[in-house]
Amino acid sequence: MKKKRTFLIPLLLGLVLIAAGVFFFARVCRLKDTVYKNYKVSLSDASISEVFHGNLDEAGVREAFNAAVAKNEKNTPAAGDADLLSEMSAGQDSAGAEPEGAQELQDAGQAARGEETEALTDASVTEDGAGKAAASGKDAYETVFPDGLKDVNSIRTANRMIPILFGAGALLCLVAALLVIRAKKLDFASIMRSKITWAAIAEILILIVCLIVRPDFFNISYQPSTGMLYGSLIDIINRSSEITIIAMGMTLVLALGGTDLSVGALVAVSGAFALKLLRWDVTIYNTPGDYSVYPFVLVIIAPLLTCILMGCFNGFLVGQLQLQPIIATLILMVSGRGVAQILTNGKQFTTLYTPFRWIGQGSALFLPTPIIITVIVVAAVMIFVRKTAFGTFVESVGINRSASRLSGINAKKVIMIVFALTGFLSGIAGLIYSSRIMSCDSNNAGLNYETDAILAAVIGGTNMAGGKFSLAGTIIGSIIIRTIVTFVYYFGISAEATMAFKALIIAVVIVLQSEPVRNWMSKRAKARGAARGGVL
Amino acid sequence: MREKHAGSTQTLLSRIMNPKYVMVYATVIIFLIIYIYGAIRYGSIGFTTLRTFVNFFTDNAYYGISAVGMTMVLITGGIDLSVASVQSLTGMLIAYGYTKLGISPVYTMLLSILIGVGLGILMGSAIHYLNVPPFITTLTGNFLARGVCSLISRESISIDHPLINELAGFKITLYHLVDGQWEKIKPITSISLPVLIFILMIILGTILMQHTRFGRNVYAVGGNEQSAKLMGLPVARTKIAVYAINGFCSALAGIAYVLVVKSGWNMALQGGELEVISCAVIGGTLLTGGVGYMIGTMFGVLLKSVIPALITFNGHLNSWWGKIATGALLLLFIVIQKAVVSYTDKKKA
Repeated sequence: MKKKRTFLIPLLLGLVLIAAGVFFFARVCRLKDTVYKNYKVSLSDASISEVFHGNLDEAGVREAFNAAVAKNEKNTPAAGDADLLSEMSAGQDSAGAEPEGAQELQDAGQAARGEETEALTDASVTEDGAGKAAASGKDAYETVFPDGLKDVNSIRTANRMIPILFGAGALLCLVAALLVIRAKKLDFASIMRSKITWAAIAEILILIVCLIVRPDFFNISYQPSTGMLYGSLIDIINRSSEITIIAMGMTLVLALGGTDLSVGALVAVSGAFALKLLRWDVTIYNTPGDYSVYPFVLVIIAPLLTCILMGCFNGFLVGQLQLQPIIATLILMVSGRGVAQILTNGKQFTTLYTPFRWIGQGSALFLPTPIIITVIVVAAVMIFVRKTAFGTFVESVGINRSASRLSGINAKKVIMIVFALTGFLSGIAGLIYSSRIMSCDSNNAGLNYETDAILAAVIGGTNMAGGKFSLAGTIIGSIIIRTIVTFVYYFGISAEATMAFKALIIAVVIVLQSEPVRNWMSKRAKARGAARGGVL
Repeated sequence: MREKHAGSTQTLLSRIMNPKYVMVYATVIIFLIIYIYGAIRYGSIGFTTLRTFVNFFTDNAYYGISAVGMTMVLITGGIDLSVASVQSLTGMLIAYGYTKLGISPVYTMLLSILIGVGLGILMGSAIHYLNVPPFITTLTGNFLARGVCSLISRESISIDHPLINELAGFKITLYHLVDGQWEKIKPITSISLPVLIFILMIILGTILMQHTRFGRNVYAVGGNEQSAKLMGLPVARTKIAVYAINGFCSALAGIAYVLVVKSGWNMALQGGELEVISCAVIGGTLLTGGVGYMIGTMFGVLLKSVIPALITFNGHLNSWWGKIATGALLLLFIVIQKAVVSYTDKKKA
């Protein structure tokens, strides 16, 4: 039987439109950045729109643009300037080492202030912008738009297109979602009963609170030097990538009715092994540099293989020996960090190897690499699980192991594959983590990742007792956790104290998701639907 | 009366060899094997002294106190991940309360026990009435306690209060009879307050679990909650009470920990909850519920201390080998336990 896939057309179209919107947005951001770089001032949003939305001829645009630049230069440091600076440096900073809560923010602030004073001295010494431009015989307008009106018009279109593209894209995605609902014959009551809905509602509520508390929370800026978009939203997705990747495997483990506590330790092992291969012997290559002792392919593959093997060990204990998963994986959780420390001799290696840096700090398609890796991993796992019978096997083993064995499913094999996959995914997360800090940290790498991954899966609607699971829900869960953390960092509260807020918000989410509350809500929704006399 | 009747139908041997005790026997036997190995290997350098043996209790007394409550929670089929954070919070409350605010530790101790019990009741209610998995509920409790602890203070605070000093210094020195005279055992062996609390809690726990109606309810709920409910047992009350008792044990363990380290730190005992759980599990408690004994838990705690003791006596192994050895022994233990159980199961069939 062929399934109807009508929803795919609007969905793809919507995604393409949103992608185009991002592209134009990046263009406009790049313009702002060019202006900033050449004139050490940035055009505030108001003056940009003043220039581009007015229906002027070329001379008019030139005059208005130059006037805007001149006006901005006069009141340096412009407010917009400092904003852009702090935003950029915050972005850069968070792309660097693991944030230390308040510390990070303070650092970011100091860096921003430092750069600002630098910019000021620059401007006073060389008279900058206008002076430079005058020397080369070009005014601001010609420097920024070498192709004249053609460039201006393209920016104008971009400016006009962004909201349209985003709006239309979002609308089409909504239409696709409605089509899915229609095709699957979901009614409002069952949607209200779905845990994913509640997870999504919780995420939206948190984002709204973020927006109210900090209106600039949704700002996104573009930096040409790294070719990346920066902003809190991007940062949230970027930072959640390790947990998302691990949680994909963890969801399957939970669906089997098990728990994998060893993922955090595997993250440490993977990072330690990769750094070991990059540096090998600290006594010979005693300075970190842009080199790798072993081929880069080996640096990537060997840690992943190790993690797969360790995952298989877990799978062997749980599948063949039928041990309780919590205890079986506790073994590697305890001894895994010991292995990582023996690999690195208890030392912390650092490296400056460029290809390795790309894994965690590089960019592709305007986005940080971890996001791209996450998207690929998530897509691969989803296809593997949902387009083959594997997902059903996992669910059936999770619901009743002996019954699934009687119906011809090799439960041991399924368990082995799931744990090996989780190990592999932890290995990827470990590479990303160690690439972010360009070093290995056997004690703190992947600390508490197991609880975060389990939380992400459970918030996303996976049943801890085994059976039903939802990979899409897990992604939302992972993003919720990261949103909370990012949000709390904005208040400058210490990383450890974040846990209290995490606990409060998770408590709200799990109460909303709990069976009695969901049943009550869906009953109400059903009653209302019946009163209105229709579906939806 | 009823128990006497049951006893008359069984011989003593068959009662002792009851398969439900097999896990406990396995724990005891493995502890004895490791202890005898240590005695042969390091007997000459003092492994066999009474002092070393008492130190097995002293080293992990606070984990042991907490493990008593944890065993009950595990027997109901639940799990509690918040114990270590509650211990840390207790330490922080006592330390911050006295050193920064000048409140007597007596009040902060009472307060922390109240907090432990309150958090336990809250989590138990959420688990029972809202049907949230215990793992997630108590993980949230863990985050909450740890977070509040960090909100209070992020640095280690030392305590210098006469009461705490006195309690921490409290020791019962052991004597033995030599030629009709009481002399101190050499090397001087003494039992500290945390060890006393630990042993007392084990005894109380055993009485509570084996000789009261409440204990039988706990086993029934863990064996099959649905049946227990249909039998008319107070499932809700039992489950919530178990989490409350566990909260009490955690707070008590926190006080014992304060007596050992005399300070409060927000990151103290990180990951301790898994130590506590593994103590109970090594002691033969099943995570699926319904099976477990306090005496097994006690031997689980002893096993946890005997492994680092062996590494210390060896003297050549690096500290990070300790982690791997602990993992390996955990593995060995679980596999042997599994083998024993499946053997007896086969024999029974």
